[in-house]
Amino acid sequence: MTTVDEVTTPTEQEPAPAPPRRRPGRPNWRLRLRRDWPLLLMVTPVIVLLLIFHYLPTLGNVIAFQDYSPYVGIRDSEFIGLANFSRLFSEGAFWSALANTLTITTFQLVFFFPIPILLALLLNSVLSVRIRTIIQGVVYLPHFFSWVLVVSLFQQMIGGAGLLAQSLRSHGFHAVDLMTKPDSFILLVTFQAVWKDAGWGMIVFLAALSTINPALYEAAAADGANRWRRLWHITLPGLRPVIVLLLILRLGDALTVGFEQFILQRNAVGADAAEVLDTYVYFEGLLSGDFGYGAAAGLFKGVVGLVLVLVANKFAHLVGEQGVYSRS
Amino acid sequence: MSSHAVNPAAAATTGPPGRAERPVWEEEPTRISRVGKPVVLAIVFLIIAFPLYVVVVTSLSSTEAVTRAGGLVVVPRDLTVAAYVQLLSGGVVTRALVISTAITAVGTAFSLLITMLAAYGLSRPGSLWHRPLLFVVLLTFLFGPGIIPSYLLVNSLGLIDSYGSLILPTAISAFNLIVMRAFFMGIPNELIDSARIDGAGEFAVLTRIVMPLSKAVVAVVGLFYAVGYWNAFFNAMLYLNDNTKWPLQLVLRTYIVQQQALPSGAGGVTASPGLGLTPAPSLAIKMAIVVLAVVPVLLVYPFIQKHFTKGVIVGAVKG
Amino acid sequence: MTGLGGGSSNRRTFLSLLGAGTAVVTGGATLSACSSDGKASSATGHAETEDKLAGLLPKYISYEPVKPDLPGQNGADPGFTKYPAQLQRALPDKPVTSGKEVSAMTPLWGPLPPGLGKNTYFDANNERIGAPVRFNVVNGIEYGDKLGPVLAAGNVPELLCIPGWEISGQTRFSQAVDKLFEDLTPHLAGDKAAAYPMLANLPTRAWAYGVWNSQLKAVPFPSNGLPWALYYRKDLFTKFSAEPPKNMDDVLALGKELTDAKANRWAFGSISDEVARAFRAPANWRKDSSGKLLNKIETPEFEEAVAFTRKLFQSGYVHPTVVGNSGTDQKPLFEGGQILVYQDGPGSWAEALQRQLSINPSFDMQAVTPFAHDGGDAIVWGGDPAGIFTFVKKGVGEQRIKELLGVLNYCAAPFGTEEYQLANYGVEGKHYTKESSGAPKLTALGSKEVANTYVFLGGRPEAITQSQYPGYVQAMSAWQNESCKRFEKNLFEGIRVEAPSKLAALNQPFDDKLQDIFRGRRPVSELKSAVQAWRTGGGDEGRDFYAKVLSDNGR
Repeated sequence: MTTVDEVTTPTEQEPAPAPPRRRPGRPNWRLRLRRDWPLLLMVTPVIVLLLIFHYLPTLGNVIAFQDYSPYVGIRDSEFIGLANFSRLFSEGAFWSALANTLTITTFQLVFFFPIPILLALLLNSVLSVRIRTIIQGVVYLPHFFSWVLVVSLFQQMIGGAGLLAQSLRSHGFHAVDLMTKPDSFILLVTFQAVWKDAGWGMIVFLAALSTINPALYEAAAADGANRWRRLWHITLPGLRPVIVLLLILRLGDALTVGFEQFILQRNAVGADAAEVLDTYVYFEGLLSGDFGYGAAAGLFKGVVGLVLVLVANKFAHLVGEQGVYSRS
Repeated sequence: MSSHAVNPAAAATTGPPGRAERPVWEEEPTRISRVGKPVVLAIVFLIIAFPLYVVVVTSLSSTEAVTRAGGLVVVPRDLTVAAYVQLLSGGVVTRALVISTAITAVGTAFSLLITMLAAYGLSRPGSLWHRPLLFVVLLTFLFGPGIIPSYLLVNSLGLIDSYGSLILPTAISAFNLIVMRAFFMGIPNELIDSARIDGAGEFAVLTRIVMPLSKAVVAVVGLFYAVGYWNAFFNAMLYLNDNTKWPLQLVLRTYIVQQQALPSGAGGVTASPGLGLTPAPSLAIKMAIVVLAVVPVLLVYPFIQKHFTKGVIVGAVKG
Repeated sequence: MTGLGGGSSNRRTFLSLLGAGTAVVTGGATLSACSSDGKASSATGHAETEDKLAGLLPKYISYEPVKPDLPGQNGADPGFTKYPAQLQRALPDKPVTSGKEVSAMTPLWGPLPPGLGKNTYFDANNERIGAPVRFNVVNGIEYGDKLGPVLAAGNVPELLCIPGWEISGQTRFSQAVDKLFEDLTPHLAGDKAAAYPMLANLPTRAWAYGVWNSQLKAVPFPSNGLPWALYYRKDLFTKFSAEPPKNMDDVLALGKELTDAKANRWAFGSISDEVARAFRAPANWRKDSSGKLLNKIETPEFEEAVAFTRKLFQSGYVHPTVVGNSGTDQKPLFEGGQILVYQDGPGSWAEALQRQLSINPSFDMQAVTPFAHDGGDAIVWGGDPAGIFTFVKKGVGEQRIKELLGVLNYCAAPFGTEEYQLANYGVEGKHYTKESSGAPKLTALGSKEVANTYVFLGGRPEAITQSQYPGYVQAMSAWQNESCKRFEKNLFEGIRVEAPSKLAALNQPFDDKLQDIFRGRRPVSELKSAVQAWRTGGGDEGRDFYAKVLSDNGR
């Protein structure tokens, strides 16, 4: 996420062409091949790996249109058109998983998204370099923890046998197990996500803040703008491109809410609250060996996700921002 | 509670002391912000540091201390490294630690190598087919292949139950590749061209000119890969049927998140005598497994931090 | 938090255990009966009377190295109150002559033993077998989750153990059986079994359940059909002057009396099946007054049982970890004294004693005599004559099949043989020592290394043998005899039913909802809609299928 603008305009970033490399009218590709073959060779391993482990399985999604049996194979399994999809759309559990996914995404968008911005503003206003460094170092540390670890830590703190329950019990209160309450599960996962990644998200905003020209603030202050007006008229507009960009990326990921986080906790709270699309594919498709059906669910997710990014990006262009990518 | 919170990471990342000047045009801070800010910062700090602290203390506690606390230990008393000795004296956890370390080392070296090659290969302006190739890389951002087709592929390649299944499918992060390419593109063309005039081939240019200038980005990308390999558990869960091949994260999941009985080889006492006072399996051992999973991350973290601030990533954002 | 399904197999167990009432839910095949699975007749279910299968099954040849002194009645296991002074050697030769390593996958409910190469107990058994057996020991709770991908990948070991209750969760199981596992009929049918005397000693009724698609496919693990027992910590009950329950009021009273969250102690773990049984819900199907088949979950008794179980959960009498995760491994909690009453398989009793007596000599668990909710006559759910199956990988070659069957033959040696002793306790003087009574007592090395591995490859005639735990054989024998005489009448007695896979697939969604209702995540009223969903999802079709099985057999 941090190199967003690199991603943004991959093809527009090339510096002024070096004279011997790009002749007008484009040189014959044979000549260029003779010149550039070592570069192509260097790229080959990555391309091969991506083709095998990313593109090939993407093609494997054809089993979504098959009555696929692993004992028969892709070639000999019968094509059944959209039967898997019609089964998918008639399945209550699927709609429940979709609803959970969208609810949790929306919730996190509203409650998680602003936190890194607030953290960045807060930290940016701290004058002591030492405190700043310490806090910064601590808040983005959890980004580098695995979800297994994060869930383990939460369990030890607020789970049924955790520190909170333990001290409540020893003081004669009724212990609560916050890790298994479906009603508050959305709060739990959001809090976990904030705990793990808010600090990391903050970096981007800190960087963006540092690019705002201090002279703007000084001029505004001289014009009598107080801190809130400066925040509104200088800081936030300065952060706008980054905010829009991250929002788009988030939207593209709307159907992906921390797979590992959910798979680790689904059984503790029950499928009703914790089944999301990814876990649905895993449990209903993979573990039961119902591959065609699971692939259909996965494909649905992938396609909708793709559409969301494209739409969001279009929207960004409409409001005059660069977006994730632009036509070159 | 708060007085005990000591975070190893905090100590490691302490920056240079100093204090920026408040600009003259800015107002005096209000009283609310003067009190509120430190309080908020302290809370943020504790929310992150306190769980780590408790886990570390509990892992170092004796059975008596755990019993006295009724579970997790907050106040350290008669500390012991018994849990670590037991865990590291052979058995499931030791083996998982070795496996995780090996996968992380091999995987990182492999990923870093091919990422570097490709990043350079794609970074030379106007080179043949670089646009379509770049497109192939970038397109992977937009969609994932899906769990089930990936599983079928790994299976048909015969990689089930092999360590290759933990490395190959995730060997390339398009993100890391793009970060590195961006950095390489920032290297002045004149340097490269002059090397070329001296007769250096592309490989020589990469190793002699580009690499020495890119230590920071190589370090950061390498650490990203390393942390990724270290933390991965889902692929292991998916692709490894043989539990003697489990990496540490899977062991962590099994014994901590799922609370299964510790294996006899790990020195875990399966159950305790007594009348419901002692937690069933030794909590200290479990917490020690947690600590073992964190420590490598804590060790590399200062390096990640150092290079971040050098502007590798931040610079990319600034554009 | 099994997340990863850790628990899901456990969740599956609930209904499939009941499904076990008559039919191991086999058949597998697709979820949607209408899909074009073609050849798999079992997609729509299949039934044959056991005598019709006779041509496929091994001829029974009795082998009894020792006589039991506590006979089992009504299907209960025989009990042996002492170990024989002299063990018999059952197999003169090593079964694997090639010496080639054998791969196997088995479940284990308990801590993992050290692996091959670091485990002298394995070495000792492998020496007798003639080749190293490399076990992939998978946590029993997660076994079903591992099984699906293993089968689909076709990546099966030479010997694969599949518990019957995991089969219902597998789509296309009968296809998998066809494709992946060897037909054992040519090697074992009729007199051919005489080459494997320990296998020939397995009860014929158990063998009938090893048949899929009209071929003998698996070596069965015979079972007395008692699916579980309700256990309580007698030592702790005595300490708190509590008595085992005789009706549901007792159960509630125990919950109140024994639960003390502050002391980290709860009265119950999971006991929902036991509650349903106590309310006299049928194990599977029963006929109502009009002769219509009614599934367990449609009965008013079941509804009452659900409400009762929910009450236990809501009152805080159930251990919070179990509340949190229906797939929790409850054994350590029970053994550690955090749970005082829970239900578990009959085999877990002796396993717990083995783990606990050495570190806690006062440890005492007992099984509660089956009671009814109102204190009246209780019923007991009966299961199949075989519960676990071992399959042989297809295409390993004639010679290898013989060797692998030889390994299974070794593992099937009954109580009183050297082989049995070795597979269960290891080497005398090393893994166990003989007490004055002649009973084996595991040494420290034995406790660490000996684990149920060979024991899960095939089975042996069931027997109650662990007289080294004082009073255990007598108590278990008494409990089984009490339980077996209360067996519910089985409508499908003697019919091998491969249930329609669609019906099997309904178990898990229903059980998910049920677990939610217990835990207060859904109102009790949702039981009705869950039952309705079960009916429209295939339950009614299942009813028709079973009704037809009955009418076809003139019942």
